[in-house]
Amino acid sequence: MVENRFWLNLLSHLVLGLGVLLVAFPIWIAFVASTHSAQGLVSGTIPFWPGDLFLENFSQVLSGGNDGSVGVSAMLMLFNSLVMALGISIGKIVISLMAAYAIVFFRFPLRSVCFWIIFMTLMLPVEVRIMPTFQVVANLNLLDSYTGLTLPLIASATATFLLRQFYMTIPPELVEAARVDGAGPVKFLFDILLPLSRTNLAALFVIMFIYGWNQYLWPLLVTTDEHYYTIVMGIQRMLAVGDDEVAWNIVMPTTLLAMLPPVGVVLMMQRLFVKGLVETEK
Amino acid sequence: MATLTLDAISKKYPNGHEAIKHLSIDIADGEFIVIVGPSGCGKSSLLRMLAGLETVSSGELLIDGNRVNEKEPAQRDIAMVFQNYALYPHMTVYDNMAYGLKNRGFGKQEIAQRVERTASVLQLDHLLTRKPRQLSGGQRQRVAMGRAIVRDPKVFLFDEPLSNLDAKLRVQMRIEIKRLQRELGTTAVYVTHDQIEAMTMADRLIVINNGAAEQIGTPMDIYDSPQTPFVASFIGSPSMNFLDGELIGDQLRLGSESITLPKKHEFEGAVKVGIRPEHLHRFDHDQERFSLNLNVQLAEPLGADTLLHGVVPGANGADVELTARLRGEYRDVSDEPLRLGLDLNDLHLFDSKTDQRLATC
Ligand SMILES: Nc1ncnc2c1ncn2[C@@H]1O[C@H](COP(=O)(O)OP(=O)(O)OP(=O)(O)O)[C@@H](O)[C@H]1O
Ligand SMILES: [Mg+2]
Repeated sequence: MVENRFWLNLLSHLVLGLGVLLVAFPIWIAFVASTHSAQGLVSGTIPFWPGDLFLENFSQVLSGGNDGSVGVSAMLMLFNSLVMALGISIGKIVISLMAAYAIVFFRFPLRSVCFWIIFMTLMLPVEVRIMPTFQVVANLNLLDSYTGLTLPLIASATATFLLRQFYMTIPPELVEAARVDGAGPVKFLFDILLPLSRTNLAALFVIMFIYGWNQYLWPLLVTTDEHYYTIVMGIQRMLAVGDDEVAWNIVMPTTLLAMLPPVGVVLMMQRLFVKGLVETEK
Repeated sequence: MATLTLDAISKKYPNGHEAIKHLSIDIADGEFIVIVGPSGCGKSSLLRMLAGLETVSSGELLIDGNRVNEKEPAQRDIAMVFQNYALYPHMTVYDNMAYGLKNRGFGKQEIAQRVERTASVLQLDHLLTRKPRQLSGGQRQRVAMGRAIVRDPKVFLFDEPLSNLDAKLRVQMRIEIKRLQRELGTTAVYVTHDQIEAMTMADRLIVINNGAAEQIGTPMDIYDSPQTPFVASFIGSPSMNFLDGELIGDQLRLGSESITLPKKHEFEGAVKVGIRPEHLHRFDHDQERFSLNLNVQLAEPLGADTLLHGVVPGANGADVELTARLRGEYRDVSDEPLRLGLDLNDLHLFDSKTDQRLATC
């Protein structure tokens, strides 16, 4: 075994390196493309090394004043995406937290019926129920609004289900100890349940944030006013130029910008995960 | 400090299972009551009704003379120590103890004073900033105790608080709990299935079988005159031996022998004869007329004593298992049965039909 260590190490590092390369290469290309002029990119061969137009391209993208863009700055689209992603992730967490709390810790009539109804909606993603949902949102005059962008996506069976599973692992004695200690339902939720589910909530937040950030079909349907465009659909708009040349030198910087917030969220929450994992107890 | 009255308390679970049947007892202020019984007999159900974690199906529960049947646990002014401690994992030892006080609206200063005083009583001073996971089992147990004591409640409720500790720590904590309860003078109800804990800690014992209290009394009372064979076999270790016999006047027929009893009974007929292993000793020809011939199958040396397991010939030829506890070491290697004698005053007689102890007259 020991004599094989070196080769084994080398091999596993090679495989890992290859994997990293595979994942990172498109990002490198995107970066390279964002530093060249539009003409340089449509000439047939994609350059491998960065050009000298980095600042120029990015400032064009951020201000939005150029022919390749959709009429609003990337800043606004990023902001819209952020509102939507935060609205969806926070809304989902708050709602599913309370739904799971009720289902696990309270006895009320039709409790399991409620749970199974929620559970069944797991099988119906947005795309399946998109027409009726659109109809409802349109009738409520919520087209072209932040509410229309976020509200229909907030109810979450997945998060409710995950939190329910977690709550069910909490020993009943802990609940009883809190009752004896004089903690009512609200105190129990805030003083005991929330601190205990911190890591789970962080994980859910990351997943839901990325889910909200990457929403594509829904914003495409409910927004016609470009002031409510999200960055992901903005990119799509930039590509849908018909017979014109796609302005890759604008699209690529936008793509890179669109990547940053999710990466930021993952990095931020990762610290919480690690802390949570270390502090986990039974 | 409080009195506790249970008046015909019953518990029927929604599935129809009757876990506690018409249990009544008056518990005096400062008394230490131990509830014992085999697994599943309803001990926890009873304790949880006292705590208010389980509803009382029928009967009345009074603390200090006030009916508390409908009150929430927090309003009953009781404190409970759970078997697995149920400490709040995300709170420090200090916060664990302070939480109940905070919820009751005590001031910061008062809380700090109380927690610190309790911590020093339980030798937890240096652990106040730790989280439960950074503590040993014994320390966690102490924190759970602290959380109960710090509130200065009317009644302590313990549900097998020592069963997760190793033998040595258990003995230590057992003594400590008893000492603390004496010092504080708080009424306590303690559930266990460990009969040593039951015997040593209790002012009074409640022996529960199948949801009903078979006997309530001081530990020595119960040991000396158990009312039923169940109580007799449950209290005392190793448990009591039973032989079938027949009582005619003051003559007890046991197997082929007939013994004249020192005490008279107003009963004739089939009886169960109970003999505690520790009451048997090597037969002494000079003083005794009655002996049992034990065919020893296994000897277990305990150090000071030796347990002998074997069989004695019973009625109509069948062998009956019997255990004896003899002083000192056992080195008999002969195949001969061992002759055992006992003081006839130590015999326990129960009516075979009703399973009730026979009264002497
Ligand atoms: N919620 C419940 N619903 C129905 N039956 C129950 C419920 N809780 C307990 N029981 C039943 O009531 C009986 C008494 O249970 P309990 O927990 O009081 O026993 P116990 O004496 O504490 O046993 P152990 O020593 O094992 O802890 C058991 O037969 C159990 O199956
Ligand atoms: Mg129990």
